[in-house]
Amino acid sequence: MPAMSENLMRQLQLLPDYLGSHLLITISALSLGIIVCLPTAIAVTRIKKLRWPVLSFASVMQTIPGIALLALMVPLLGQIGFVPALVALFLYSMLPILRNTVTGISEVDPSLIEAARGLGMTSNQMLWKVELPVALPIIIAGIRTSTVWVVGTATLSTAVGAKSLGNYIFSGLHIQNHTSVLVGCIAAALLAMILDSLIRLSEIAVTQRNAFKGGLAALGLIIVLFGGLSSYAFKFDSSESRPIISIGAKTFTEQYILSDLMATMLKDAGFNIDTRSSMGSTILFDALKNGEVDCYIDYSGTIWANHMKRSDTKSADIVLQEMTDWLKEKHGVLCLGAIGFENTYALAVKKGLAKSLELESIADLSKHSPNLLIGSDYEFFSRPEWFAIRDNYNLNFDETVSMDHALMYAAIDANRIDVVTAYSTDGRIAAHDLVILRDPKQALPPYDAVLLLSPQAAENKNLIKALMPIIGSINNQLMQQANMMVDIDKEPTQKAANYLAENIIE
Amino acid sequence: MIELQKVTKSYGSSHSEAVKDISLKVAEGELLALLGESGCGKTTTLKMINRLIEPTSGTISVKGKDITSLDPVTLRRQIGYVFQGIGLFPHMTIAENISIVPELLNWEKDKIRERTAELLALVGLEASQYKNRKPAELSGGQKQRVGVARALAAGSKIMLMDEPFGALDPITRNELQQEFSKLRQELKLTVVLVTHDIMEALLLADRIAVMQKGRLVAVGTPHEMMSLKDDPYVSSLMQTPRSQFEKLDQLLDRKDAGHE
Repeated sequence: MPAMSENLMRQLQLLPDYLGSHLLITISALSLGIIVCLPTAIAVTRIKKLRWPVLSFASVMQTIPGIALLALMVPLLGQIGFVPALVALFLYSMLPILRNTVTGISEVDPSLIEAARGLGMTSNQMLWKVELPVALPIIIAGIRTSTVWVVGTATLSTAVGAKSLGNYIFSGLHIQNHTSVLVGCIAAALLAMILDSLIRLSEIAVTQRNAFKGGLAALGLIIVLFGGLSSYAFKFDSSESRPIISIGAKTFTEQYILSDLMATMLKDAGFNIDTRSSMGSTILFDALKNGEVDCYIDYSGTIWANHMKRSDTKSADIVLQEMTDWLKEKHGVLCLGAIGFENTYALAVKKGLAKSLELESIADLSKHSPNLLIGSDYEFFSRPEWFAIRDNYNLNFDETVSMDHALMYAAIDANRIDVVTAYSTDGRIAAHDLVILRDPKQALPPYDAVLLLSPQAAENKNLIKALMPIIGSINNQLMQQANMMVDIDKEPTQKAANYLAENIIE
Repeated sequence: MIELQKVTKSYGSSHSEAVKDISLKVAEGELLALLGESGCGKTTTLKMINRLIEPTSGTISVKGKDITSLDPVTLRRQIGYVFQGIGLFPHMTIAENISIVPELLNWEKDKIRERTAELLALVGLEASQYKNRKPAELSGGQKQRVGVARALAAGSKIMLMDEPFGALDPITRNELQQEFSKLRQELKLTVVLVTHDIMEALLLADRIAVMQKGRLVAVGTPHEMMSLKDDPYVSSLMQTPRSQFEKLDQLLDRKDAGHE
């Protein structure tokens, strides 16, 4: 129990930062949504021709999954962080506000419209004195729906590099820290409920013309805004004196540990740092290219296959050299060097199964594969590496199952799948009693961990000096140990980073 | 006060004429009933007077002025308008509903307050009791009283009424008709009343204009209408009240006979 509360305290320390950013994105997107959608909806009720195109556009935006809409904004807007999150969430907020306002106004009792005209109201007076007030409850209902959706969907903006309560959820899911996931979910739910109630209270205040309730709603809103944003605004102020180095991380344990390690090293060297974790892989690379992220750890095989679009397999040295040259020439990105460990995809099976089927290498799998199930993360089965090993070793599995990386081990434990595509540095390979099958044909490209710097950061001599100790200093065993500390022993990632730091300095 | 000259309203193709070639005069202080079945064009005729509907041809003048020369919004603020749907605004209090037109005309707040109380008293509602209520808290008859008060608010001397008492129960309707009759004589209102209720037309109107399929069939006092024999449509219309009177007479006779 003390461990639990310690964990909780650690999570809550992050709350001002995450909540502030979450609130800022949410409120901005909703305000923009209301400012744009109310006049648009009114125009739609006046010009019938607009109705179909406007509502269809908003509906289409709504059908795009939140995470995809957010991710699409990154290449479209050419940047990461607040702006793409704001635009995506704004698009997401539109439909309920538009549809409810249009419905509310067009369903005002025709006898009221006739009365208003008959009494001599102009079209404008009709709108402000009759149509909008009568439609108000329906319009407010739309805004409330939007609010709840946007607060929820804003958790996904973590993936495009904007901090949010989603940071708790993403990292918590990946390193199996359930406290973190719960803190994120509860904070988001509470925020949604509070904002929803405040809007409802404002509506009651308006319709009942109750100044007390109106004041209460305004006070509540001010408290939420100032409470949420103050720590955030304060942070901006204090950091202006020193340049901020932005460290990126993808969504798995090793990445969280290494970003914490780099953060520690840079802080010690006097840099002011900002960590952007749980980012999508290609989003992170794009962010590095245009300098929104200064440094992160990637893998040679990932750059080779995903960005250089190479499907041939070369030795590790050649891949590293060609990749370094390509990054420099094509994007001005500096590859500072290999960290020392390799985190390749590897096919692993339970020891018992390996023994009974006499499996040593992937080649041994080919005759058994029609009776086996293979599980992997979301991307593997659409990656060139999969096609390479499948075709090289003539694999024909009964079924391929995609799931969250963190769940694969539980699945093979429960015998729901027989083969997993593990990451070779994963501490859970040993912990779950799995064996890695050799790749004698070298069908899988090498996945040397490399430290990449953005074009701007590449000019920063002090930065390079501060990060240089990482290069060539962490071998597979060390990385596996650090991963195990987090995945198996449930230690915080910072502790694993400290462990690495102690072992680097030799 | 109100004059229609050869007024026609057609929709879409010229074949579907809702109102055909109507000429009518309404004198100051007169109540003219437009009587006819539903779809005969009586409501269309009424709505052309305050330009809720624009005629296809012909001219309409109010107080001697061609209404096409007037801004429709200004025109409507000078003419009271009451209809069956009443159209009280549900989000406003009774007082606010009544003060709509004075507010549109930028009257002073005190004057509006005074006027509202005066009007509520005029239509038989206690101001202190009703002014802050919402329309939903009122009965049908009370709502229609407020509707009349609202139409009178800016002191207009002309009233257009479209089936104003149609949705009320017979007792309330009778009561309101009587009160309205008194009220309009006191205020010397010029009224055009659209109705399909022959009894209502006979009891309230100074003159009745009978419409059929968009045309004006006959115009005359209630007495003239009852005795008009040469128009088959009008005499068939008047057959209904006539037979009702006869039936009533019989009932009264029989009752008297029973006493004897």
